[in-house]
Amino acid sequence: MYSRILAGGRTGPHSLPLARIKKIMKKSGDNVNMISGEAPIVFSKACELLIEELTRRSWMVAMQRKRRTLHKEDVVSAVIATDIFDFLVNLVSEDSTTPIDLTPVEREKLEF
Amino acid sequence: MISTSSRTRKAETMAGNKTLETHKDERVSATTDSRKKEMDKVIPEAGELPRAIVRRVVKDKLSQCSPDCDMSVHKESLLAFSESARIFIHYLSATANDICRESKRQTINADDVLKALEEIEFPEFLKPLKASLDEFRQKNAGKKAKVAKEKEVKKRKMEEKAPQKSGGGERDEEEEGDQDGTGDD
Repeated sequence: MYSRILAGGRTGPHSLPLARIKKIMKKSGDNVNMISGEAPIVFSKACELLIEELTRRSWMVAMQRKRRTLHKEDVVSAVIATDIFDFLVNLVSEDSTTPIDLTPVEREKLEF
Repeated sequence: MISTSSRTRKAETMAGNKTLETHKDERVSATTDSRKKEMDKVIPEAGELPRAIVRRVVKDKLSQCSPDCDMSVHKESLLAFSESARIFIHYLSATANDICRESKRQTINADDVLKALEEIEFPEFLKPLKASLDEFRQKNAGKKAKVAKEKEVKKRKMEEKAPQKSGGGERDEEEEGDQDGTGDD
């Protein structure tokens, strides 16, 4: 049964696996309540949307820098420049790559 | 391991005096703030999302953004996307969990998650999510009806064979199946 879920039985052929999502959810705190059958579906789709939004903003940064490859520093800059991605700021700054800050003009262009 | 507080300060300075925390304090409640501090303690690698799927989502979006030119994605940035999604699940979960608890319930449901999205300032996700959810519910309703029918048939057959025995010993697999997110397909 579980292997069928992992293969994406309910959410569609190539969506994020529900079992994995549940695992991550359970690790998100000490007193996590039980999780209904529908909640992981919502999470799966929400994750997709987040990745899409993050991709879009990173793409804009890469474009501004006249590149055709998305680099981690583009993702980092997009995170720093976007308020609602504040919760990600520790992730992106926690390695040796120095995040490249945007110029005020670049940042303005990203604010939408 | 990694001193998150010094990194936050570094990020703040680099963002050009954009003091993230004070800036946020004005708009966000204390609970959201404490949840964010919880996020600082998140240990990475606790169950990654499948790279292939993340890659597909990213590449699809990129082709949408620039249909004319072929964008490529550096491996490190894929990792960043994957990690971001994972942290997002943590953050959203913690928020949904609090909302659920405030309503004195034990089980996080889809509505809790939707409310949580509003709270963490992602209202633009709500519409597509609700659409997805409706689609899922419709599909599920179809399946449920089918399974319920099959059960009825089974039950009747059993009753025909052994009219004295009641069918009460049978578990209601349906309910459990839904809770686990499994079902019997």
